[in-house]
Amino acid sequence: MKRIALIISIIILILATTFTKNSTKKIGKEIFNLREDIRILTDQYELVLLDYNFLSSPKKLHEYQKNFFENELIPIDIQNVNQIEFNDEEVVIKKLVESSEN
Amino acid sequence: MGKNNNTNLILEDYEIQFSYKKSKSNLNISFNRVAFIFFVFLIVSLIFSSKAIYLGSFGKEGNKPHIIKSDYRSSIIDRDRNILAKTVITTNVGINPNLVINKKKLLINLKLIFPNKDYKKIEKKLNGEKFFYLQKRISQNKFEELILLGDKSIIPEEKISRIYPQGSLFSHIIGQIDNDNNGISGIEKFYDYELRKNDEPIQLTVDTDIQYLIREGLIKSKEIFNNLGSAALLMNINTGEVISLVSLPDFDLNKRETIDDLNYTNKVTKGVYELGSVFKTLTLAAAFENNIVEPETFFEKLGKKIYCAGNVISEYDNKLPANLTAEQILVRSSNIGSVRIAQKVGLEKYKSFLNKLGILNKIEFDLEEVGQPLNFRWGKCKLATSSFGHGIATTPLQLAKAYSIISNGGYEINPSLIKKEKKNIQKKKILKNNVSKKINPILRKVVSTKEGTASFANISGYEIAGKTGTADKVKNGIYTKDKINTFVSIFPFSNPKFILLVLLDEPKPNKEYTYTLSSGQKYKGNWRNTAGWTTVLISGQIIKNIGPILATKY
Repeated sequence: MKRIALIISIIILILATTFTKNSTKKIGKEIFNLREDIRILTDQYELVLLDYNFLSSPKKLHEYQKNFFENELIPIDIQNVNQIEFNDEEVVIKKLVESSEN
Repeated sequence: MGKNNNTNLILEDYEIQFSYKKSKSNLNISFNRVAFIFFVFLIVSLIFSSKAIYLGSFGKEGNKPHIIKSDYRSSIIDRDRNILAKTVITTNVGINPNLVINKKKLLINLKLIFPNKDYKKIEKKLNGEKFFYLQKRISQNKFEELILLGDKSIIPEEKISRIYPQGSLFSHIIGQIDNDNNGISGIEKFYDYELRKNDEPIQLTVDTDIQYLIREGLIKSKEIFNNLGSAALLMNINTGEVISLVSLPDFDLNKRETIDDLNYTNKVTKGVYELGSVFKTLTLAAAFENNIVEPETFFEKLGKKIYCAGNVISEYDNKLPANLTAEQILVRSSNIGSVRIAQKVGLEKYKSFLNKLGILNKIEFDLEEVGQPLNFRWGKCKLATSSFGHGIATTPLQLAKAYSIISNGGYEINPSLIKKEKKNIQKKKILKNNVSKKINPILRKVVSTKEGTASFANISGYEIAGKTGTADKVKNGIYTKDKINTFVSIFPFSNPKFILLVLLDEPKPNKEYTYTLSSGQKYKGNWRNTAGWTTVLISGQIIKNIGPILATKY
């Protein structure tokens, strides 16, 4: 009986080892490929972000505003900015800053 | 007999069977072998399982070995993760004259691609034998056009380049690197090891939009007051996070110029100045901290002049009344009044208070460029002059730190450029609670009342509190007529969150400029070259511009 149990254990171990080996090899390969893909995509993303940061830098935006939207984009007076608060079923609109005191 | 023989045979058989013991022991040996094989497979199985576990743990931080790479430098980003500095691979294109087949044809083609180059120089180089660079950091389009020429003499080279998309906006913060990828100033130098080691970018506390608006405000100050330079620092008074740090003049980081001119010093962190009346706030705060005076404490017969060791200490405005409360002394910026308060505090307590605020010693900061406050021997006269910011020099950064502690309820802060997680910030109270409660309303009155010196910063909706400082600039150890005008503002007064320090270096009065108060009242510029007529105006304009962002985003 012991003999049979041992043989079965060995067979199971052989199968488990083979399965684990193949799986780890496969997973390792997949992880490697994924990491490479992520690296390439991260590089691409960072280059796009670099372009975006340059093109949308405050200096550029100011230039665009001067050239194209001079009359449309105007500074906001902070006292005209309102804040919306949602309290359960009630919506409260209040000033972002109260009018100046002296 | 025969039976007996048979029996014997059986016995012999049994004997043979008896030898079965032997074969039983054989079975024992084979059991060990099987166990051994089992053990071997178990080990192999364990090895693969551990590998599977290792692969499963991929992606967790801390597994990657930290290797310093010579051609690598991680990015620097702002608080909104906008890139401020990034290393990219760029292409430089050169020409090897020895490989040129048809010089004339090559020159014509190059003229078509780069019409603005000096072709006399290029022709000269083509006639030589040495390799030379035609274009460094070439754009992708131009590079493709060049490669399409199919000329073997055109040789591309890939190089590592550090790109700063904001140009000069953060020059004094980020600093420069040398050709060997080593940081030589600013964050690039202070965090050189981390930038080379870490894969993750270094995140700063600065805000690009606010930095731009403050820089624009300072550039405008030059147009109005023709100042030599200027500086501004915006900081969260509760956390010490530096939201903006500007020092003008600055420089374009992408140009990699060697900067020798002292005017390009980082005026906020490295510049050590006598900052004048802004010190009066510290003097009064020292008195509050030691429970020596109250805002209503009356000071009589202040006089217009006092003498100390043969030197005269006089009032900047002879119209100031002789009797003032402690509060009025600060609001009206009385020199003699401040001297009297400091004398009440006493030398040791005053020194100890300034030490507590970190005014007298070098500050620890995230940049290499940090100034050392000037050492001097304390005495009665030094106490008197220090009380109104004369004869005591420190950096604007340290002054901003001191004001923050005084206004934030007395909690110690350490100015920082590096973004930290909120849970890591521990608050340590170093001043008594009543100091902020007493000082902040007085600083508000400096801005909001007629008698105050900072009326031009009284912008509706922003509740600005602050103190002005006008100081004679010291050059080579001698006081000159040139000024260092400073305004330290805290806002919003009802719940202080931010400190903005603006410093103008050698501003000139502008008689043609028209000043407008928030009430709409207009004033013509005059001969006065004080902070109230220069820096306060610029600070007010800056706060008006950055206020909506601060109010909605922070």
